[in-house]
Amino acid sequence: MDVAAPNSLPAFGFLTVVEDSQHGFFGGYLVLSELGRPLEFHCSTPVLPTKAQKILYGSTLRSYVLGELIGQTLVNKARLPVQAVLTDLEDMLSLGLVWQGNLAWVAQVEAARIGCAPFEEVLFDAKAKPTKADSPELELGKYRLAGSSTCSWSEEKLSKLLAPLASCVDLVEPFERIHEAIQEAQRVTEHSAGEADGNSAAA
Amino acid sequence: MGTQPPPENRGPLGRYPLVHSQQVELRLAKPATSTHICVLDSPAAVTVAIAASEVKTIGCLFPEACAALGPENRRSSKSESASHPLELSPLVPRDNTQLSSRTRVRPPRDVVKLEDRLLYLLQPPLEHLFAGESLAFPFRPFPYQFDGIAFLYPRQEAVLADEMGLGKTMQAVVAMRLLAHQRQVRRTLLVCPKPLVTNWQREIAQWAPELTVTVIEGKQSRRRWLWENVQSGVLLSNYESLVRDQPYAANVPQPFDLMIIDESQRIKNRLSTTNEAICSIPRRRSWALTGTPIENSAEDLVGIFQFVSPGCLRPQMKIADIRKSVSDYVIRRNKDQVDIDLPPKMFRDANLSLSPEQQQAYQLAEEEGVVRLNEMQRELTIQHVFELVLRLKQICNFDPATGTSAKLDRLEADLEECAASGRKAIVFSQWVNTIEQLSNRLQRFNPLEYHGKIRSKQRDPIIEKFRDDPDSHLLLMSYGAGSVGLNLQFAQYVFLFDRWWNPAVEDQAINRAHRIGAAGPVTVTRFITTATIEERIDRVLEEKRALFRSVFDPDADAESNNTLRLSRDEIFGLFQLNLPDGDRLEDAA
Repeated sequence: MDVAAPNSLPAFGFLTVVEDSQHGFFGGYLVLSELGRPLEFHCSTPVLPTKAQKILYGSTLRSYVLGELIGQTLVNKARLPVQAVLTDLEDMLSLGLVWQGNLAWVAQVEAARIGCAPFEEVLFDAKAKPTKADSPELELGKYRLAGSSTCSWSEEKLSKLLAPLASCVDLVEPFERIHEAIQEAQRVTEHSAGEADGNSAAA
Repeated sequence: MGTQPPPENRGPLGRYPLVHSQQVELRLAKPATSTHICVLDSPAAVTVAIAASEVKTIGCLFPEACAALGPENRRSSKSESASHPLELSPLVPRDNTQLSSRTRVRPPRDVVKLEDRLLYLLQPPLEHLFAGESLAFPFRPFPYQFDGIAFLYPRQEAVLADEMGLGKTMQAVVAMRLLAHQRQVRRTLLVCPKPLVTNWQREIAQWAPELTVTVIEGKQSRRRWLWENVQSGVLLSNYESLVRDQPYAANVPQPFDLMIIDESQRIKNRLSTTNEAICSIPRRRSWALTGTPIENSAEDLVGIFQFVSPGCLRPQMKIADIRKSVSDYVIRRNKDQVDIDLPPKMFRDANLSLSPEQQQAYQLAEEEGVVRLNEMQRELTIQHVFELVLRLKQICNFDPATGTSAKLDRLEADLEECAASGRKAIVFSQWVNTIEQLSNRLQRFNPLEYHGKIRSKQRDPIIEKFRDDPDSHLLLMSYGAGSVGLNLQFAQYVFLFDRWWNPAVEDQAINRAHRIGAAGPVTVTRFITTATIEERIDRVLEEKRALFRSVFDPDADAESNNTLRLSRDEIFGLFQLNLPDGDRLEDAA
């Protein structure tokens, strides 16, 4: 997966996971056009960290699984180059360790200000999480974007890239689509597996 | 542990980026004893392999991306078989901060492939399309209308069964427009009752102005040419014309991409010529619009589904099975369920005593009629009973000898008040001659007539005059001509001068006035003469409403049976007659 070539189709990646207490993490990666239309979609089978991983990665386990394991796999699987990848999960920023594109964690300012988004608590409430106050951030209309020091981050470049997208597309809404698509994929896969089991039992 | 960099070189995540190595060497010393010195020079070691979790993925490249990547990628796309719902013309929302609600397109059950289902699920919310500058719409639909559009859009087979007045026409037009822009639909056939042709033309011009509409009318040679040669846009026909044109319509060179039938209760009788003609037309998508999917019995739905999804329903199915079978095909909302600020609809039953002259005529007719029916013995059929019912109902309207009418007296009083306040009223009757009698007697209200004797070309001007002329307070309509499709929301009063056999038709009539755009409360007055056949009919109508609720009300008892239709026993029971072998009421109705 490469950063977009200058003459490529303007496309943007949206990356998130759905957490399931029983199965683990389901990853989803949706590539949208500048107008918000779907171009490509990939989702992962559930990833359940092993006991050894839990012990050895400790408090960094979640960011390892989300960013380096699931995020990296999905972004590399996609065929369309993207201008930037947006995520709604802070832990996904660890993708920046292993992928060199533009990566940002996005949240709505309004949501953050009323205190219902983790973004506010983590990034903008200095008393709650002072260690995150140094993260690079950017305000783009009603959205706030943040990166980490491991991410490729240029405020000017990101603003220029994302401004047209933000004028057409609600930058948070695509994550809802991904959630629904993951649930659908899970439902269809389980249904198919159930049918296969039924057939083999009948045979 | 493996070698780690000093803390100052660690990343913000608290660990060095290369920590994902898969092997870790652990050096363990031998256990020390109390009296010996431990030797650490050559400790034992075990190696624990941490296998990286394997992440499997599934995914697809959608058609728009394939096109951008070039032909070699197009071939490799997994979703190549999917249609192209991404080819909308550029849609640039003016301000996406306005898009608070989101209506998603959800794939129907009969879309099986995961790639195809994802293609629908991952589409932007419909509200984003409506905010587009290049796909202009006259005004923003209600949320429930977005839901209806999102329901129709992905479906090959669908019934939009919203209550009258909620905008079925607009929802169908917009869904058709979206499909047309996405090049999924190139040619649509739209069939509606003849009086509604101009209404559809107007709605399409408003909600999809770029779509070309061709009305199939005129001489046979012209109609034939249109059927055979119009290859794009919307072909608009009416039921009667379509039956005549069936040989041409059923043999068009290519199937229609979409076929919509409005007021689809017209094909409820699955053995009728109209049903046969409609079902014979080749098509890829079949949508039926109706406010009254069940008029008489659950069998009506079987007839409609013969068009929508042949084989989905069978005759004599139980209500519970019907509900289950149609659940993914039918969307039905009533005015109480949707969040629109519609003025209230108030019913008042005017229970009137017949005038002395009417009373005398009624008693005589009933006694003679019942005697005659009883004398017929085995020759008695349902048709004979109906004739008596109709005779009695007419007497309830007017005394045939003197023309006196308790209903008319009451109506005049109500209309005085209505006209004095500058409001408009619609009066419905089953019979044209009743309407004509009313017209003669109510001349001071400048009545307009709208019924089967009025030619099609004269009908639209009548509606316009009623709407625009402040001196025109009264519209006299027959149920047959005026109960469907018309928008008369500028009338505040509806009078049901006599009762129709079918509650759905009555509701259709009432909802000409009580619909979106209604400026104020709508008062519905139902005239019922006491101790007459009309009271008995009123009870039957209530039973039919119960049947409708049993199929479409999610809270209704699904186990209820479908025998609530007006049976042969019930119609004979109106007069406590002996039961001969004979036809069912439906056959005679």
